[in-house]
Amino acid sequence: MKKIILSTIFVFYTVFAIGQTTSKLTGKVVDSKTQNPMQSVIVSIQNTNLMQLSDSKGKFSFDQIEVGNQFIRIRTIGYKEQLLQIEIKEEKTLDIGTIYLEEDITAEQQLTLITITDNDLSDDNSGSESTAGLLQASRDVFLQAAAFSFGQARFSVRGIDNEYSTILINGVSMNRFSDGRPQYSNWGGLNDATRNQEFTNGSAPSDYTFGGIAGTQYITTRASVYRPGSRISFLSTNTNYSFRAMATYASGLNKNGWAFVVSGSRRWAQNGYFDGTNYAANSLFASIEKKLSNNHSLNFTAIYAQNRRGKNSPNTQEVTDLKNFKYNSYWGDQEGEKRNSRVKDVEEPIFTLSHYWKINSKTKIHTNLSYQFGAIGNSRIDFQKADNPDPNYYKKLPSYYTTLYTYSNDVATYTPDYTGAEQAKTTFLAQPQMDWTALYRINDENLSNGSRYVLYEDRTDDNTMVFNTILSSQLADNIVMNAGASFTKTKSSNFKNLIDLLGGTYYNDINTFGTFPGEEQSDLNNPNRTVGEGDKYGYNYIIDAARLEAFTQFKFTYDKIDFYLGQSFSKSSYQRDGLYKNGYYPDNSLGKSQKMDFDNFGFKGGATYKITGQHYFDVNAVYMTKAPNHKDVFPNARLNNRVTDNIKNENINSVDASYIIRMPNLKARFTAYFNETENTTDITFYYADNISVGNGEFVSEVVSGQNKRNKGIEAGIEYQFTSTLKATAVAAYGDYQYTNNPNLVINADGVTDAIFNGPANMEGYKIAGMPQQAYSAGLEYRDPKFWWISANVNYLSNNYLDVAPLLRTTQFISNSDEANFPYDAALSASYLAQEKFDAFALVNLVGGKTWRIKEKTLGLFANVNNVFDIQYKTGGFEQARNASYSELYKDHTGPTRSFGPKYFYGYGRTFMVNIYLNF
Amino acid sequence: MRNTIKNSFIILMAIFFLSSCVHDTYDTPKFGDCVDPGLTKTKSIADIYAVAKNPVATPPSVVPNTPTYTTDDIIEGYIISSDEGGNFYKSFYVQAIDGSKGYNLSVDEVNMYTKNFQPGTKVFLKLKGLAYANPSSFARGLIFGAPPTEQYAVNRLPTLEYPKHLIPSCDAVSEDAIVRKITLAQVSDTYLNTLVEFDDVQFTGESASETFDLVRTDDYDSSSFITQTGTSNLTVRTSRYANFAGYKMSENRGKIRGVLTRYNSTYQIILRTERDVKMENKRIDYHLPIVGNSIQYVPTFTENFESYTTSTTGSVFPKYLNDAFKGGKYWNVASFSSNKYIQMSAFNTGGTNIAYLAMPITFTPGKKLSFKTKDGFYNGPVFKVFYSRDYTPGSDYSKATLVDITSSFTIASGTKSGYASNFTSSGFYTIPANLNGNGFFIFEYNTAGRPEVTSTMQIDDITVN
Repeated sequence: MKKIILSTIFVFYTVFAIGQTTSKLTGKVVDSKTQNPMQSVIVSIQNTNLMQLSDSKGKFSFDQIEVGNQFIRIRTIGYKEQLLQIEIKEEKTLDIGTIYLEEDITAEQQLTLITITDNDLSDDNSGSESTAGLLQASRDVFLQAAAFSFGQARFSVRGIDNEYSTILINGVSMNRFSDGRPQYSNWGGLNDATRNQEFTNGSAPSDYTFGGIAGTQYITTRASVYRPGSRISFLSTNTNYSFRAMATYASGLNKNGWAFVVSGSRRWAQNGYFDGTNYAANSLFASIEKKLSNNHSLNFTAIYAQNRRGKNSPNTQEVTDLKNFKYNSYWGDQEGEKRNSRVKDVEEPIFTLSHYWKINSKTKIHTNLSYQFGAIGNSRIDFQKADNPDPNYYKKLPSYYTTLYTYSNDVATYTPDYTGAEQAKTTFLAQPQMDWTALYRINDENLSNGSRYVLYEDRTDDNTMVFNTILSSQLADNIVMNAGASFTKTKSSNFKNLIDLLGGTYYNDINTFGTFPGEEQSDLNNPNRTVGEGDKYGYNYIIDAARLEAFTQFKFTYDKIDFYLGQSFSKSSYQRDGLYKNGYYPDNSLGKSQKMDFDNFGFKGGATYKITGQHYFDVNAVYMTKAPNHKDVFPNARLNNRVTDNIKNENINSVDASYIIRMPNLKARFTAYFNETENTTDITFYYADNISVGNGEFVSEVVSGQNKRNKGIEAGIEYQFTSTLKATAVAAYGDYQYTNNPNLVINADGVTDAIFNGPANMEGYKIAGMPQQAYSAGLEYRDPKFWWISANVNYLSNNYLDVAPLLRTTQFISNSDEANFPYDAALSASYLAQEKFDAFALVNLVGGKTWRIKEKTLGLFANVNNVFDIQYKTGGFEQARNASYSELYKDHTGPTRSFGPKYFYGYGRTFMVNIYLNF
Repeated sequence: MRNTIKNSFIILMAIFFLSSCVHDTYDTPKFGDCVDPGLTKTKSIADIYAVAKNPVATPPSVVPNTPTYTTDDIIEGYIISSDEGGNFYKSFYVQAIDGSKGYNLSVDEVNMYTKNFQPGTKVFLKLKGLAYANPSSFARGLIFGAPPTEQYAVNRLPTLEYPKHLIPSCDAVSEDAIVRKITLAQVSDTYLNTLVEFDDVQFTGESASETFDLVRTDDYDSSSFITQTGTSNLTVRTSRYANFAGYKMSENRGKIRGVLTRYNSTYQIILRTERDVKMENKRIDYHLPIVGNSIQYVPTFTENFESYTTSTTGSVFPKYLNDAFKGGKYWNVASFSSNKYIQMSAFNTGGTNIAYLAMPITFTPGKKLSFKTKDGFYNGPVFKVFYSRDYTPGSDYSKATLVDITSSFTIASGTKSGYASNFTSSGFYTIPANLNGNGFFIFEYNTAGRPEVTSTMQIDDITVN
């Protein structure tokens, strides 16, 4: 099989001969307002790989262009793109004269989008974020609405997780091996510096990678591509941060062949939109390029983004009703400061050395060597021999008292304690936040015996080295080949890091849940260890991962039809290396695990049929396999070397078809898509406090062999009534659901056999976490006097609660107390029905104005999102504890549930104002 | 121009990074000063003890087992237990400062030690409305709690209720100031429900190096023992839910501290945490091998034990060696239906046992060893037979080479309730041609590492010929 794939990849090289007659093209680009020449404007010939940057006089010149009709594309950031048809004649030089680029005053929107990727979708400590990528620079009306209007409500294009999209910085993939997702914080706040982006949607072809089924995003930081100038901006908002200050300077390519760009920003909030969510992010960027000759350039980029933010808790309906939707249980007052116990800290600088080699006018090679290191930490409170410090702990809430049952001679009686409930309510409302003082006091009282409460972080320290090379070659007049190969090696260290002893002098590195001698030890080679601040403890392991990837792609361009074919092959290997000999797993925790290898391939193809110059029909299809992410390969990586049973590659297939209209006044796209991902594996961990599934406190749940199907329709229409008034309408109708009953295995520490192993009835449940339907209509007015305003109304619906697979197993009945709570099928069905969140409508207003002051541009950009302050749920999950019919029955007895689902909420009305100066 | 740009840029960057820092260091919280509850005691614990012992009925009602206290009295005392270790659970002990009396209180609350109820804290107890039970029942002493609903003498005071009765003061003493240091011989009701410390004690051989909760897989708490002189023992009671229940008991000798309680005739000490054991000295072996005074190596012998008197403390066999190798139990001669035999059992020993009976022999190839066995209350194999050529009488068995020949024999097993009705003949072990010279046949009773196994094993009619 491998041989066939490899030979397919290389066979095309030999097929096409090179040879054609050529002519010249020259021109000059100036700013339409100032008449000043514009440097570093990107000028390219469509359907070829010819590309140039204008020089300091705004001039460009191509030496070898095919004779015939060609399209020349002229673009730079912040200006409207120009697409001109030209006719090249044999042996003649065509001077197209001066091209005026007009400033795009709405482009500022791209630089100010505050994505909600900074929030969390679930309760776990996953290192990365799970919302859709940044699509704001795309010109597609549908994708623009997805980013600017739906994004705040966690809309995700086609409902596909971003582990199926590919994010590249200078061609280097930013997707992590652990969960396949990119870590957006790594370049967060560098909007100026990461503006040069190219997008593809779905499985459409990218020049740089084979990609997945959720599109690609290619960011280039090559210094010479930035238009020279300086820019400073200051932004104020009331979302996840309060202020952003940003400054950027780009030199442009000077006479000696040097170009450099520096940029920096700071974002901060003492208290973000949700209570106690502080935010502090500093980002620095530098890129320097040296043009060695006409054919060789070297570029070095350093990106250093530091991001530290307090998280906000998902809450049950009971808690939200007692407080409000902004309530966050993670923080507490400490000597007058709001201190958040769950802080995410990301600090992972990226260094990339790039070599751009223009072999000849037809062929370019772009090669990168990239190194990234640093740390991601997610903090929380660790405690032993003491009460759970969470103010939302179930015993502290009224629902605990109103769902009480007492057993006498095995007979259950409902014994609600309404006085207790009332008192719990009073107590909770009096102290709804974490009591840091109490934690310090208790530690102080136990000074000689070790802290009872400490603040620690689950750390992931990745070291990643990537070597990749991307080739682009014009094989014939109408054939372009793209090919790439990359090798990535990651060493990921994972451990608990003690941050703060909270007034104590040491912490005992033991597990108080151990039953047998030794089980309390996290490392039998260092038993009864005491740890201090900055010490590793609890668990400590390394995942070594490596991947070799290669792809080729051929694009064919003809008068009536364009089509492409692509193929990829990759080889991945994962291995765990345990550094602690865990007391529960003395034989299976220290040292190296089995090495897991996965071979993957993919094929894709598509065509664009040009019905007329203004009507197109486009189709894309892909079949590929995908290696499981390593977090799903090692189901209990924190403690042992075990490998998920029957772990297999995912099978992915996807097809989409679009009808596209590109008329001067009307731009529209109608797309139908169908995606299937089969054989996915998903591992989640939760604390099984008072759970019926075992005596371990930390339970892992492995769902394997899961199939998902995402199908739907996307439509986007943009109509230009006049040169100043534009209307847009967008619709997304999706149906994302599970299509089979996967296998579920529950394991707990210290229990050798699986607590449960069997199918979960997930078929027909909807995939959660995003609205499956979204509609938007908007109007935009651009005044010739450099101001604009737009308004849109959005309707989002069919967002569902994430269901717990454990409740959909036979255990639901077999673990039920049938004697006291006879099974009632109708009631049971009502408990297991998937909650559909209420639909909602959001109205947004956006506007901006620019002023020209001498050579400088001063701009103002502002928006108000969710004008009517609608409160809505963006996601939520069922709690997996109480996983039996009788327990659920009891939980539903009182006026409020004790273990009801926990919800995340969207922002209410928010504003944002950005002032900027370009000079 | 170029310089202007650069300068302004540098200045701006400096402003960004130096100003507007988000605060993420925090001052250590100051703990508020303790507010004195302003209570004074109206009665001593001893006063209440006297009342509780002779409850007075208000006619026409009869005296209930657990009366409710009706007057507005307050007693004071010092906390001596702690639920830090999980060994005291929703229950704790308070004693008078002089140790004259102590009481127990049941509350529906966990981690009390983190809620101002640490050992040494002086607490007030408002008695009105509390149930109290007769200290004489099960000889347990004074206990308080909520009025009982069913099987318990008192119920736990509800979580939201107990703060109205149990009020911490601002006073505390070091527990070293109130602990009473006594010997095992002094254990009596004088010290009941108070904090005591024993010095120069050790866990019995059965208990040492076992887990505090002996059998981690069953649903019972455990009793193990400490000893001072090797003869009289005190029960150490440990809950299976204690978070040190899976830790091993010390093999050394030294101090142990805890609350002295009583259940019927049994006194027991309950530890707060594993730190209550401070044993750093070498232990004393009180159960040395009983070496017979006429050890003779013979090629053949028969033994039916009829010539010995019965014993429970280790029979003395002039011709053999009897060793309580781990624990304090030796092989003992016993009698049933006019037949004498030897037996061994680990039942109720508070841990695990190993006992050896070594019989000197001049190995003569072709001679055969046989015996009879009878099992009782069988819950696991305990019996093995060895020969050794290098065992020196009275020495440590672990230093000798023991060759296991158990598989040559049929050993009685499987009688789970009572005793087997008859002895089982073992069959023969024939001394092989290469085995000669002097040595021992050794019978081993062994439950090491398996505290749940306590099978009784009886042996009779040992023959070599």
